[in-house]
Amino acid sequence: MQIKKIFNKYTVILLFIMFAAFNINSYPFLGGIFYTSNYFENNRFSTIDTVSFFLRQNLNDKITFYTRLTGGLKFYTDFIKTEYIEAYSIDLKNFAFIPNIDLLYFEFRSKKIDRALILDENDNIKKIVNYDLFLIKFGRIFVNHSSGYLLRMRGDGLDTFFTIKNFKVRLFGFTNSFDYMPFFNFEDPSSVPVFTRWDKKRYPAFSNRLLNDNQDGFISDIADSEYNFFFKNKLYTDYTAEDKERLNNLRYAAVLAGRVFTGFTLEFLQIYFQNLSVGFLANIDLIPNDFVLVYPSHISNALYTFGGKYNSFYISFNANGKIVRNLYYNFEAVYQTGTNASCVNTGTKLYVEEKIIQSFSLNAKLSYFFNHSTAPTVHVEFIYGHGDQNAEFWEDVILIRDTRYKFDHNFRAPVSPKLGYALEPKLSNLAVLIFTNTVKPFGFVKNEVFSRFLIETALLIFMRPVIKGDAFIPEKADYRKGGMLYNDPIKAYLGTEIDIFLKWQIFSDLNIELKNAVFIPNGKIHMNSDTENPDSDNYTPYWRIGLILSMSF
Amino acid sequence: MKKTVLIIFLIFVINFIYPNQGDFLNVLSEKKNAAFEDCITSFCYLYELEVKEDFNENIEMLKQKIKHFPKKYSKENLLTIGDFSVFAAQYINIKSGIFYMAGKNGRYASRELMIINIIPLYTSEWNKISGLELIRLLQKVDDYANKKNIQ
Repeated sequence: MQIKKIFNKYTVILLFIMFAAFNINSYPFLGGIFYTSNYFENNRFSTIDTVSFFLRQNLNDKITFYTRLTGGLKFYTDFIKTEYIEAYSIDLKNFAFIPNIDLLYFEFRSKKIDRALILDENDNIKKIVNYDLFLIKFGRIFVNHSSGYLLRMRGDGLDTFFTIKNFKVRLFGFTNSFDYMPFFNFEDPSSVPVFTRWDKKRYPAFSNRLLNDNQDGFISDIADSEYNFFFKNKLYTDYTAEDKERLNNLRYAAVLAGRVFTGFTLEFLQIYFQNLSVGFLANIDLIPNDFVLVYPSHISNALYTFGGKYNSFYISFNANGKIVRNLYYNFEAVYQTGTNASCVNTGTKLYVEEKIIQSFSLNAKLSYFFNHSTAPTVHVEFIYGHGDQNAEFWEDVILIRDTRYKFDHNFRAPVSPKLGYALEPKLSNLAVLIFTNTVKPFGFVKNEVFSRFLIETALLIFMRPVIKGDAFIPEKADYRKGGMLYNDPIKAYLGTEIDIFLKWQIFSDLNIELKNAVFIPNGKIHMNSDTENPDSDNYTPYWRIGLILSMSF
Repeated sequence: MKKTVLIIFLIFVINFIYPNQGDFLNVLSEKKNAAFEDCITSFCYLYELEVKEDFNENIEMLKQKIKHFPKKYSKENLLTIGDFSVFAAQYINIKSGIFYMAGKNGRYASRELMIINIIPLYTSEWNKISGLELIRLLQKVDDYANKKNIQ
């Protein structure tokens, strides 16, 4: 009976797909993109080179199939250059292969978006857009939630919206569990996003190939301090052979335990040139509870756990639109709650403690577009992500290991807004003031090729709202002098970044960018937090120069 | 629906001003699939050439204005987006797109027309064009040319 039911269900789906395939009334749209990004940093050269092919097939007026496949290579090498030595590191770990199905989805839409130009009662040309539309995408999709400020990523699931006049409702749900990209990543099997080390380490990646004799744990080396086994510590003894077998069997399927992201948005579009929206986003951690703790005999390595379990929920409000002619704004506020389970080591006992997340972030931006042939624009932006004075940042993971504190006030979203180019820090315990301007210096030239040349400059001022908390510069504001602990308010200021980007769309299908960025840290902040001399200037600016080329074919 | 009404109105106006073109457009608008010959005739009209009965004569006349033709063509071939784009891109004198400049073929000509909103995005170069669609596209090409003071 059960088999019959399943058979019937799949038969219906199969028939539906066949029906759709036989109704093809147009030819596929095929294309590709070559992309190369090469950049030098203080001690490193990195390159990413990819080729993507895409296919878009309108099966009929309402159904579209889309897929994009990418292949390529990532490579980096660290170089040390002194008076006597010039060394470059090249190892298998420096490579990452990129074979991937980026996107693969079916899209159903109720009807095509209908746009028309009409004259209003004052004979002004008015653009009418019919928003009455229903659309659903399922498969491997790209989801952009809350203007991309909270979530902007690829996953397997569905995304749907419907609009009634100016009101739009959007629902989505997807998982990153089947994103196998990091499997081929020799460099660092990092996945986006990173809340805990499990997000990085759940893959049986080749870069974790350093297996010694003891292989009865997860996919790592028990002697390797980098990361360890994660068997549940119930009895404060090592596990029995049966337990080990059970947990080792579990590890094979556990790699699929990524995250589920789901949420909705309610939007009011184009009401007196204003767009308003409220949204909800849930981030659910699928790590098995058995893997949250360290192997009992390695209690001293508690730090090297997967970083626990991080479930978070976000409520966002966004408003954007026109203030006066040529002046636009964007405002976004997000409240975050949830639980952050950290490993706690009391010295005699090791356990997981869940901290309640209570945090928020803000983003406010003003943009002015000048009416000139060189198309100048000026933008002022303020971005704020709250912090916590008791938190430690460790390899992108937020840990609160002190049992006295029940809350985690650090803001952490699945993705972070782009904050500069040199360091690209995550928005957590950070306030950033950004001044940007763009200009097309040859905009007045008749030659179209040169008129597309664009210069973008930016100044970013980074501050730490919670002065005693960790930020992307790991050193805290506290320092020791003569054995006493001091706190210097000037260390709320972390540093300044200056960016100069030269962008040139030479042809319609060929773009080239030269990106230059330098981050100048606050001279009062020390690279060595144990220093006895807080006035020493042992910091170095961090710079990055990148050359990016993209070509569509 | 609105677009169809607009095109019928255009045909009516053109018919009134240019009787020969009007006849041609009347017939064309009823075709389910436009033929390659229709494209040649249309561009002869756009270049204000004297349209002949013979297909080959029209081709020879058009060759004085247009350098690059699709590689394989014949009178009865059903018109594709790619073939149409080869003529349209040269008519509006497109000089962008590294691949278009290199090959001047239908595939990349159609990409260029997509960028300037003459052809809808993601339209395959192999798609066939109906008579009405061809009229609509010609109208867009002509508008673009007038806007840019081409021809």
